[in-house]
Amino acid sequence: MSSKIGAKFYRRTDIKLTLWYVLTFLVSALFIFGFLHLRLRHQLIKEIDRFMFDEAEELTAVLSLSRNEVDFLMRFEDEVISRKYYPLFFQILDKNGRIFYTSKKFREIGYEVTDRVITNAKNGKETREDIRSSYRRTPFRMISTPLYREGKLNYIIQVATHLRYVRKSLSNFISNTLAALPILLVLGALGGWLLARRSLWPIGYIASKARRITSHSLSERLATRGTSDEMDELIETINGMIAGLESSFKRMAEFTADASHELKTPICAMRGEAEVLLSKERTAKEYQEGLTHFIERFDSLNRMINDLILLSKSDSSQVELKIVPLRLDLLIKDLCHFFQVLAEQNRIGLEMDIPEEVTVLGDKVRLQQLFTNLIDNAIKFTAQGSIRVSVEKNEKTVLAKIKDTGIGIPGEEQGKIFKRFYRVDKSRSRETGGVGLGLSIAEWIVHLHNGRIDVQSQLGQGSTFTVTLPLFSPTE
Amino acid sequence: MKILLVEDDKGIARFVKKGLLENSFFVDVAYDGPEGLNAASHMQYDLIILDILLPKMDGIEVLKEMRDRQIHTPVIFLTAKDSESDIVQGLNIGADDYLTKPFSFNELLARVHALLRRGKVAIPTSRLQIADLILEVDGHRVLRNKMRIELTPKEYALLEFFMRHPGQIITRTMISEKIFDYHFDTSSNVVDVHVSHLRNKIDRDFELKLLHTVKGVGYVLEDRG
Repeated sequence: MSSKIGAKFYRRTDIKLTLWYVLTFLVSALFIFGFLHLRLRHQLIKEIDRFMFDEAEELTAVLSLSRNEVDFLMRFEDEVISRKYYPLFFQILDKNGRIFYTSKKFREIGYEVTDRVITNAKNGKETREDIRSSYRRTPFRMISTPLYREGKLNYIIQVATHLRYVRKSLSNFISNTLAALPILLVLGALGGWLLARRSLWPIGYIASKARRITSHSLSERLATRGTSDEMDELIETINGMIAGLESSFKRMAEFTADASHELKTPICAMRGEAEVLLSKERTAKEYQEGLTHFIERFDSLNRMINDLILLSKSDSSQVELKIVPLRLDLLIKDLCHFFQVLAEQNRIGLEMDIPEEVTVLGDKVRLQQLFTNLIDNAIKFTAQGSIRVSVEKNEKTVLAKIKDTGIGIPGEEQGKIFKRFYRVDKSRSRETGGVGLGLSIAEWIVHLHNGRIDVQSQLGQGSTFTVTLPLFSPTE
Repeated sequence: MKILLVEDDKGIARFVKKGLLENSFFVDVAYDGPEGLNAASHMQYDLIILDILLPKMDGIEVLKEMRDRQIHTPVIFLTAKDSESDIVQGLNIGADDYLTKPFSFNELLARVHALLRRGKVAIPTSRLQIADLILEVDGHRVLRNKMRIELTPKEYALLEFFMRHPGQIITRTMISEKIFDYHFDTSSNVVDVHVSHLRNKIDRDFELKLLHTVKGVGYVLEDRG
């Protein structure tokens, strides 16, 4: 069902694109044809004008040379009027604009001499006029040229002809283009459709491929076409997204597997212990001890579940924080005092080097948890020597360092210690009670506070964890 | 003393009822919201233990309705650890205390005692005494068998807390929260170490032991002699 809807949608897109192509074609074709039409008309009329100028020139020559003007004019008239395609009609005005001679049929044009012609002529200029008479279909074209003799206006010669063939040529042009236009549009539509199909094809491919990828086949990727265009970019973006999903799925699966393993182990131990306890009659003291042990195990299971809930909430960022300005120096001092006794019991020193007041923006409980995890770890993994907790501030940041002289972390493991359930030495951690979530939680808390956590360590020499947090300054 | 327990989980209801009965309380159990509300409206209880997640009508609604009906019995509510908004809401509409699941029974018992004692005349504060152990609040002095014992400020605070709750089980969580202002479980036994330091000073050199361990749970200060 969904595939049909997808196909319909994308077919609609290519139709839409094609229609756009056709519309664009149509508009530009009309524009170009219109322009060509204007140019053609202009050219044709210019040709007619030239032709008439030639004739006017001839008339001029006749008028200036011959003495027997009227006689000669009549002969000229006979010749030009009977021409088949471009019969000429002419009229000669004297210098005052009065009609001196009019050829036959000139009156049929229905022309009245305008002032413009005379003014132009007096200024030595030619005049071109289009004559449209209401009772004739064909428009006429007329040119008027002045004839000067010895620097004075002598005559005005007016020559006219009809524009029937110009109109015919132009209407031919229009009918030709109108015939060509549908072909052009059909070809444009076809080409546009092919182009749209071609450029939309990867989308169909992406859609169908992406639809097939489920949580079980996240290792699959879309193939790029090697054109490194936008489509390839899109495919690569989607591949990146799938890769991100794959790795987070993988992490989640690992996390679930690790978590269930870690939960199963103590539950298994508890069940076994209960079975053994019940297998025969025991003294009240034995029962008491067994049940006490149970409570302790429950408590540690409960702690682990709380950590797991916290981490899973951290993934979906649902943890509510109460961020307030707080004195980090006091918080760490209190924790050190709290843990001092534990260090003493293990015969290691716990020194503080916290010389000044330091205020950060943070959630008190979470920061307690952060430094507890770090100090707790330091005590757990230090057999002899001392732990040194120092807080120093720079211009904008606070550096809290927890340095121990413990067993240290091998170089290749240092990148992994913040991973969930990661333990450098599993047997050792089991006896110290950790499941490998403490540092994950620590890292998460540091990130929540816009800080960073770094570790420096040498095997057998000890480790230094450095927490960098932004300093709070109330003036901001 | 009569307590109403509103809890739909049979397992939790069973052990809470049993524990409270053994501690000389009368206990009624309601298994859903309307039933609890009904019981609270018709009977006089000294305290109500109310679960938030209940079938038919949740604990918050039950509490609201109860307060609307002018029933002002103290209420302790039980909630899951990951719902801070429930806690805030519950306290806002008139709950007196809360516990997050899974909780320790002794923790619950301690809170029940604390709520029932509330409003009664407090123990005179200037001088606390159990057997021959005396804590003079005014002078910050601790005497055992008339001999002065030197304590660190934290040890003193810890002892004062014990002496204000004599005979009551004090859990590790209570110690870390109330004395050290420390708000979550640690896998380390740091609280035990603090208590053992205190014990070394007040008990080690004396025949009569006062500070007892309740295994897996916490500590109690009492004269068992």
